[in-house]
Amino acid sequence: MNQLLKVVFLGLILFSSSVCAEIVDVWQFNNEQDEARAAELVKMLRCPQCQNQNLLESNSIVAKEMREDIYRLVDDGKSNDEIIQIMTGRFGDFVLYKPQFNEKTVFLWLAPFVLLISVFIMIIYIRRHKQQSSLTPDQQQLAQRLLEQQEHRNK
Amino acid sequence: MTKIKKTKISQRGWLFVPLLLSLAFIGLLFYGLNSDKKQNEIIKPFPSFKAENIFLSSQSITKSVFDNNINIVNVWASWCGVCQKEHSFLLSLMEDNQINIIGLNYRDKKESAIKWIEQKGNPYKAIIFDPQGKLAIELGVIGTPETYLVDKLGFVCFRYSGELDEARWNKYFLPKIEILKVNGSCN
Repeated sequence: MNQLLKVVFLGLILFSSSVCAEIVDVWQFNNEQDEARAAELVKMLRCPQCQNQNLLESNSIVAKEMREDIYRLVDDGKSNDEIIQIMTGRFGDFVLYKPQFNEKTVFLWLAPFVLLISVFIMIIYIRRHKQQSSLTPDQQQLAQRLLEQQEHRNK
Repeated sequence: MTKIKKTKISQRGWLFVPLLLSLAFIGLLFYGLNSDKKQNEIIKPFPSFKAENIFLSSQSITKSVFDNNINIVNVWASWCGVCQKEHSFLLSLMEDNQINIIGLNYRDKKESAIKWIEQKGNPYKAIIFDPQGKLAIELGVIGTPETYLVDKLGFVCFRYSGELDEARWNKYFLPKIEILKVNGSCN
């Protein structure tokens, strides 16, 4: 029974990743490339009214209007960059799922790498210092003797 | 001897730097997550428009309505509950007579909009009728109510999403209006 449940859950988990929203709006694109481009754009941009949905997944009025606006802009032959620029101009950087790299976001982008590097430096530092003993030769002899005494007593 | 010990300890202190950096970064992310996203200071030209003025159907309204004034554009609709709460504040703002209050009636029925204004009073110098939300989407309206500060050259200086009241007005709008009075334009 347990085994069966495991298989069922595994199946559900695997299946869930393949579920994917598709464009449902009625819109006649000029060609397939345009349609693909529009589909890509509405997946890339975040609905400004929702916490975490892209334009494609959201049913809010704003998202619907933005979708239609994007289709129109694609029809007009605007490039992806131009369309993204128009949308961020209106709604701010919030609509970008992937923030642009600029002076405002430089810390956000680089901080993880800086942290990772600092951790590596720390690890190297610790390993190097572990190898070197911090005792003077006299102290080391004393420690050795104490250890030997301990062993004798245990015997 | 003691000297050596001291440097050892201060060197060990460095080991905490990555931890402290990580904590600082996490703190910063939390701060960003909880900060007030309701305001936004992207300065951009107000989109050009030609729309119906709700109470003067014979006259259309264009961007020239902003000329030579400090303006706010208040996005509202008769179906919007929060707009009702905000309305009395807008009326008191109108009585101050410091700025031009322009309404942007968003995705509404004209009769309902007129009825609402007749019942509750009119704080607006003019009301842009936008039943399809065309101008609103170009402006970047996310929901109602929303209020934009527009200078005399037609530049959007500031936007606030949500209900306006005296405290928020004093906090967000007044300082910017004082600057506009001196500089003329925010661009």
